[in-house]
Amino acid sequence: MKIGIRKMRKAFTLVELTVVMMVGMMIGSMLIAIFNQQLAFLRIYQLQSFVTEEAPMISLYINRLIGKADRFRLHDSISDALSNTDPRITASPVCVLNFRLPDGSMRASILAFEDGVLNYYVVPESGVLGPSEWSITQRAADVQFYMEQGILRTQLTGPQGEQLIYSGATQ
Amino acid sequence: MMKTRYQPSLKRGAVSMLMVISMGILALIISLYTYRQAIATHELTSSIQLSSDYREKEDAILRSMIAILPNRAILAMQDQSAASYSNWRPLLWRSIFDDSINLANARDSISEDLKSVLGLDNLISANTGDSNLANFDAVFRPILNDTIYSDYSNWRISAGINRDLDGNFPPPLQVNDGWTNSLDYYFPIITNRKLYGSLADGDVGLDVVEYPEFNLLEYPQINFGYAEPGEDFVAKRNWWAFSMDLARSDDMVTGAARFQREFVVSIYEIPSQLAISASSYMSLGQFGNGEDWNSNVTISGGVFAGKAVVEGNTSLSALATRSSLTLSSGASIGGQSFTESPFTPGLREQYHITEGDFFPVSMASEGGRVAFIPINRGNDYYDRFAHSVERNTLSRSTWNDYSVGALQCAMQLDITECVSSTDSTPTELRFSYYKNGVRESIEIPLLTSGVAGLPAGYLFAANEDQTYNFGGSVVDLAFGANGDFGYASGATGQVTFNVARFGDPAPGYAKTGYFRPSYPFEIRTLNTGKICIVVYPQRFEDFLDAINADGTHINNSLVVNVDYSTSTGSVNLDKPNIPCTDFDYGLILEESSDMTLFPNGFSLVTNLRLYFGDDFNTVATTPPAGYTPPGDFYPPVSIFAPEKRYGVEIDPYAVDVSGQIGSLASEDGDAIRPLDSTSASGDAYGSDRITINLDKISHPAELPPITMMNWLITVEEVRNEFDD
Repeated sequence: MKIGIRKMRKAFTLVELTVVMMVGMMIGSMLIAIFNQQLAFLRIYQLQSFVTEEAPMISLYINRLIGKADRFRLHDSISDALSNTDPRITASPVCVLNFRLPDGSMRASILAFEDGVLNYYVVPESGVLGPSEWSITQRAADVQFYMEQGILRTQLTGPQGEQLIYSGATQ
Repeated sequence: MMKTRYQPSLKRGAVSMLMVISMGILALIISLYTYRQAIATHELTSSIQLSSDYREKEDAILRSMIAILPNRAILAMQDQSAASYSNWRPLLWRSIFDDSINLANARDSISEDLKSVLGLDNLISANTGDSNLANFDAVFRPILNDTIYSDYSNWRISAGINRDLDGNFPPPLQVNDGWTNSLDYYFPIITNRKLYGSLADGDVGLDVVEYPEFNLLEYPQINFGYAEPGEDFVAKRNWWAFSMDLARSDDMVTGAARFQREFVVSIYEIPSQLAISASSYMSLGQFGNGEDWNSNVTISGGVFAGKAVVEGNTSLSALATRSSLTLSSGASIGGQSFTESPFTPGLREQYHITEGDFFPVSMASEGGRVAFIPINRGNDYYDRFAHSVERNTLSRSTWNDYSVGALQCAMQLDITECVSSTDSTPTELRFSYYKNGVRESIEIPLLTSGVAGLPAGYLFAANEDQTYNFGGSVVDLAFGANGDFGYASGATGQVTFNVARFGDPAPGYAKTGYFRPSYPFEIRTLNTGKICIVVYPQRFEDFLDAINADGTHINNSLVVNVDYSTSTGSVNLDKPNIPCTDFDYGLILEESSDMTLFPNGFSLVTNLRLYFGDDFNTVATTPPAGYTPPGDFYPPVSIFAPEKRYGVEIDPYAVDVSGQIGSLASEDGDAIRPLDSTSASGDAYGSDRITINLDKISHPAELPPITMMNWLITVEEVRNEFDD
């Protein structure tokens, strides 16, 4: 009497199954990891867009304005700036820029960080400030102007706490 | 037995394929997005960098133009500047802009020389802003609706002359001659013919009819403090306007779009008006003997020097220099003591905040887009014969006439002949003056009288007790004998030569009367043997009247020189030495206390050693209409001489000087001490014998006929955003 041993052709051994599942899980994990990495990179990129996109434009505008000015003055508030009260050189949210005009007169504009917005004002001859001419940025968490060795520095704090410092001098 | 068999609907690996492809596409999309963002950021950075680059280049061009402009304006006044294309082409505004671009290196981001130094000869620049700026008309343009000409020789700027522009621009000057009016658009023309007229009425500080040449203007808001920003100062402002957009020439390539910025470039003509003003190397605060300036020295207002060293515990209101400045630890400027250099970064800004807008120490070289050019011709300023005639100039004012005081004088007195090359006793003078606006000249032979003790030029008139009728002629008289004479000057009509009129200068002798034309000058030999010309300013009014010349309001300045030229002078005469020697002629100023006879003031220029033989300008007069500054008003006078001494034959005990002091010395060599004073014998006065009271000129009525000139060059942007 022969007892035949039938081969198990239609199934996997436990080892095989384990290996396959592990490989599958590894592949899946890798795919998820890659996907997450891409998403994380995108998230990081978006978070850093203030530095890469907004900050250069702010730098351009601020440096253009400061570079054209003949004098500057720093104040704690716009009202101080308009009344020329308590000028200072320490970190301040308001910077008054004075411009010399060909007719001999001196005019002023104001860069002011107020309520999360960096605004630009042109001071009219009447001295009564109207609405801002334009908002340079609404994404900065903080903007401070200060003077160091005669150089006007602008410290820009981004929404993620990133800090950029621009340096410029008047004419 | 039923068999079941798995029949896959997809090929083996299809799901894996799908997953891989899906993930691949997703990754690709994300990568593309990231790449796109990176490119956008790069382009933004590039655009901002380009914009910054253009701004820096424009600023460099403006600074270069400040440096180039005064030189070209001077060349336009010099001999043959209009003679040929090659002469006047470099003086065109177009050439000035071209050369400014070159000087600023604004065509390339890195020069060939710098490349070579850095070992980058094969560098290929990716800077799209690098350009030869071939489209010049797009970059630089006149403003408003002024016509744009492309042709090199016809390119025009907008001149601030003979037209009233809007309130953004300075008050214009006016000129009557069409030549200047036309050329001012092509060249930087500086000329005395440009004046303030009705178009500037109300826009300058004083009446333009009374003060057309120099008026009261507001000092510009610049860091160079010749005056305080916003303060009135005496000046004339020449200006021109243009627009600039450096990006416009290549905007099709770069895609950069910027604003056409409008600028006004100005040359202020500023007569020297500070208490002490000189483009020299000056030592301030101590006399030559080492004594400090003490309480006898009062200086109101600022001081300007080419270079300055401030010694001792000197206190000055303000100090402006052209190139360098050294302060002692005890010096105080504007009430400030400086423990470190006043130009330490941040010091000025700190001062602006804590003390005020006017920082009392400044250097032109630190002033940003500003240049200050003192017009200093040095020793040539004193000498008419050191210059040849300039012709065919673009400007109607030639450079020498504009900048040399000796050439600006209405009256000219020259020694034209002497006895011999070994005997310098003058034998002939030449006096030139204006008569009905035309220059006339008379030769004055200095005949020896042949009478012992009688000065040269006297002729016999009459014997004692006889009468001689001189008619309308003004004459000097002498009466006496045996070497002793009595004198009288300024006589006319009938004169009786007797003891009753002259006294008895020679008792016991028969006396004789002599005369000579009454000139306001004569030759005198000092006890030391030095030969001098004596000038009597108070006698000029009568003398000019006697020869029917224009009055002292026209003939209001005198130059005294030695004509050593071979064409009109004498080979026996030598050019006077500077520093003066005892062998050169001297000039004595006497009868000069009352200068009110010169209603517009008086100026004296000479290249001889000057001796003050008398008080000078000590009589006050009525100020002109509209003159409001407080205090007595004295006729405005100026004296230009290479050396001054107080006294003639004897040394006065002390000297007292008021007004302004300047110097024509250079910035090189030893420092001059502007308050040092020397007696006739050549000894320096001690500080206890010198009283100095200096103040600035604050009104054009205080300007004497001849002044030293300075140019202040500025560039300002027209900012339309401030049009309320």
